[in-house]
Amino acid sequence: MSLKKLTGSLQKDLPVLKQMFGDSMDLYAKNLRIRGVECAACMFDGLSSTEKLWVILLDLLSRDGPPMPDGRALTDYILHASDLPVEATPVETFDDLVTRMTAGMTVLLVDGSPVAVALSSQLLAYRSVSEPSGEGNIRGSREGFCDLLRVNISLLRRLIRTPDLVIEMHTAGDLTGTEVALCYNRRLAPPELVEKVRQRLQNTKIPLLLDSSYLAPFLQRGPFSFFQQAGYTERSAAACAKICEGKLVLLVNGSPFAMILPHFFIENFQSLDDYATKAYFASLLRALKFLAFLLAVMLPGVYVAIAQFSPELFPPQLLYKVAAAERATPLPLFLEMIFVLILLEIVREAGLRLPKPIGHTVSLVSALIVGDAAINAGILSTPVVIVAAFTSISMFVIPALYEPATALRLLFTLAGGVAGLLGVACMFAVMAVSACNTDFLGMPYTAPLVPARPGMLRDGMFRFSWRVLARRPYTIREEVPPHETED
Amino acid sequence: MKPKISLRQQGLVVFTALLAPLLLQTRPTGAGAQVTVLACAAAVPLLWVLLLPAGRGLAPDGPVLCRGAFAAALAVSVACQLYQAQRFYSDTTETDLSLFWYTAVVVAAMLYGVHAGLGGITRTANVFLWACGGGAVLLLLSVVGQLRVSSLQVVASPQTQLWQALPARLLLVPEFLLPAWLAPTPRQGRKVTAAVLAGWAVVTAALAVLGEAVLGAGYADQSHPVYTVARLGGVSVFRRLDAVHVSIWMLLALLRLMLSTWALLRLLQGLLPTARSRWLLVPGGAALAVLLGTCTAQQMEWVCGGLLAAALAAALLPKRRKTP
Repeated sequence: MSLKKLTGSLQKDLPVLKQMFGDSMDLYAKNLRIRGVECAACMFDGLSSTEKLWVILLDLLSRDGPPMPDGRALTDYILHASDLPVEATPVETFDDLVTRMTAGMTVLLVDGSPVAVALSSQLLAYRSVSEPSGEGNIRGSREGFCDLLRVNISLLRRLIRTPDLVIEMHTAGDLTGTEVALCYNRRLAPPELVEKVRQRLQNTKIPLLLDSSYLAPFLQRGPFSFFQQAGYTERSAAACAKICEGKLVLLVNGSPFAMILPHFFIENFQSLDDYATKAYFASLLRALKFLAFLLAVMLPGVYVAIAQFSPELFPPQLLYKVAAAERATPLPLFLEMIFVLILLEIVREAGLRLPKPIGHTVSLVSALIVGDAAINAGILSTPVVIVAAFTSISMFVIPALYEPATALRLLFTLAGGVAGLLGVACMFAVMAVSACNTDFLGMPYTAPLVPARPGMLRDGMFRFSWRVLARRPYTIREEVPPHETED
Repeated sequence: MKPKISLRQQGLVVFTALLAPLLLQTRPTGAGAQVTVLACAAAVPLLWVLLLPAGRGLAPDGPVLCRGAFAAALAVSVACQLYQAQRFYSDTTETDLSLFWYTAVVVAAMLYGVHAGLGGITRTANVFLWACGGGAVLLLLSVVGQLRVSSLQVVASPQTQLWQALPARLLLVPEFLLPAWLAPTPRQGRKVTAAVLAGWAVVTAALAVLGEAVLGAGYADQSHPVYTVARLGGVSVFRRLDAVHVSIWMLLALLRLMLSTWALLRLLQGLLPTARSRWLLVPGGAALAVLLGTCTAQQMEWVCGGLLAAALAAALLPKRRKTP
């Protein structure tokens, strides 16, 4: 990128532009004369529409008028006296020129004028706004973010029609120059939080930026944790709800995933549907999801620990079945469980990365071969496969916690296999410390549960009715330090 | 520099850590509920008075001897807690877990907590306290059918037994001094200490009453009184809820280890700031190893209490003069 200013001479500026893009075949530069002044219309084929461009230019060319004395006069006329669809700010540098052209505009270089004019002739092909595939909801808006930043911003603006919504543009990615939009409610978002995120965004040095998740390591600091301090959503309604809680939303051009900052542990168990159903039912669902998380993480470890170290804890009938099944298999229980868990992860990865029709085949083959043949052959025991399958099903209830839960599940199994229930307890302590020690700019990841805040009861582990929530809506200002700890 | 933690949270983390030795008892209490309640009531004001100089002595400009004795007591306490938890776990679960794996797993988890710092430990204490509260409710529900008020023993003149039981209640543990060390001012430290002592006494008394109401006169002779109560309980078909209780209590022991080790390391950083002065850790470690090898758990607890008494006595010494 260059901050070099335009010279105002077509003979000089046009070759520089062509040189910058290495004479790329999609660079379109057409010389023409308007009101007696030499000009050049520059755009990228595919990003801009030549039809639109020529409609604009023909309109301009067809207007009768005296010839312009020089380029400056023509630029002034186009910018201030014509009714053409031009951008309000003229282009002054090559850097700006590149930004406008890659955004789909046509830039009109005018000989004798040190500034150029950007014409709105965008024709950007993009995936249309559709229902997100990975975030199912029964009620509420069906709209999901698409890949184009401007469209995503418009989705937000359409939902929050108050002047409090602020959208700041930043650029990140040395090689991609990707636009990043920082969206927040200026009345609700803590100013120190906005300032810190803005600073970190500006200091981000990353070669390429293709998804909002690339920014996460630059925005969240602190010691290692199993958990993420940033959340993601594909739903514009969910992003809007988070902005209304005072949180920040980052939209990255080319990514349909909005990053939410800060993100709390309890949010992994919440969904938009919670607010559309009865409060008691939403609370029940949250409790179920929490239980599913504990099962997904701890069940294999607890099973291995009990079966291997404290079998007397099983009811007698179950104990006989487990003992008989284990006696018939060659591997020790602990290794068998690890083997099945790893196998399940491999099957999942295979099903996810392959084209959909083959993905189904993978599921079928793994179900038949692993689930049936391996048990019939006595290589795996039925209780182990049942526990692993139950764990996987529980995991689907909380997809946002998939990454930490997978790692923790293996660690819990390892700890349970090595040290029994003590190992499971120690691993639980490690998990608890990891979650409790995570925070985003002083706001605990475990808020509002730990330390307990009023928000915990209103809209945390439980959800109160809208009448109560409306009386005192939850905002993250309640979590702003100093109220508890900072090392 | 000590991290900023609200006074409420400081009290909470210390109180939660203090629950571990109460629940993981491995020796008979030797006293019934009535005597325990009276001893606790008498011990709280006495301990509070005893701990008054702690805030002054443990201040950064306080006598080195005071902080040194406190650090030594913490080291002995960590060793004691490791030993007590191991003994409790092996006695109650009857697993053949080797000492090596026990130490490896517990120390790994403990060091992770220490690495997290006081902020992480304090928030984790909230989680463990919630778990402990839930466990307590479950324990009560599970033994509600076996609670007999008539089992509570009434001693006509408990004075003699009280004098015998009081020294055990007055035995100092390092966690009693932690609020004074963590609080920004001695006055705030005294307030938190009072709250922690009151909480500790209430729980001790409640456990004694619960134990005696379930076990009757046999309560005082039980090696694992609280565990025995838990083992007797059951809800519906769930007859082995003791495994849940043991797991929760082990978490509390782990929290106590994390807190004590963190405090010990912080103190040592202040006491031995230079690399040259850290050679003192070698004789200190050797003394601790000898203590571990030669003393019983009970003797180590008395050594720990003695060191803390020495720390409190040293706190009365005049403060170091600031060099101009």
